[in-house]
Amino acid sequence: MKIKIIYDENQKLLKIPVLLKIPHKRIKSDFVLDTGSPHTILNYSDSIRLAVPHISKGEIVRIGGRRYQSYIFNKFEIVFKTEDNQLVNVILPVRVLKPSSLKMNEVEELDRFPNLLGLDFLEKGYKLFCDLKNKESFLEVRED
Amino acid sequence: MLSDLELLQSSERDLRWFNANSDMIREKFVGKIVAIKDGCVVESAGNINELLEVLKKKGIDQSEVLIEAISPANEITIL
Repeated sequence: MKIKIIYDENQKLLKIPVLLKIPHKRIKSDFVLDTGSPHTILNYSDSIRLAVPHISKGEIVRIGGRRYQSYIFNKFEIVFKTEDNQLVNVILPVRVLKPSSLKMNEVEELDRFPNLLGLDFLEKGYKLFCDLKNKESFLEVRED
Repeated sequence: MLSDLELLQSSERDLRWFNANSDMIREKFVGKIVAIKDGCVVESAGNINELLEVLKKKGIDQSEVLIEAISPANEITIL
């Protein structure tokens, strides 16, 4: 089964539409596929929309010269759609980033940070096929 | 209430619409955070808390909108 990846040619980003779910709540959103990120990151905006608690401290994450405290949330579900309209539900811990200070510009900068689908997702066994020239990119899911 | 599949299908449609119309959206909403639903921008604000507040006042279900930040044309994202 294939999960279609949408190439945003303007921003030069690979995006995947998803539903994000925690117990009793869901939102529609999208991920940017980022093989440079070891972990999957839930952006600050979607963490607010889902009311994900910022309790369990994770690593300090450095991005572009700034340091952010990460918070790990385990009861997180990502729902993908395959090309033949099947749903693929993945349980994956996600990290939410918060600025180490509450300076308004740092908080607002995090508002604009995308959700990142990291290597921890690919480690679950999904194959990545990417042919930008021919506009064909997808994740392949093994049917069990 | 929409099923998961219906909501995901609308998420995909809205994402494709956003990508296809990003120049027009940027002209009108640069620097804002926008909420997209059914192929149009239903609301915009300067930050996520303001946007959620406006959506709530207008009775728009925040779970059924796609939220995107609109950066200037000369700004790129390097992750």
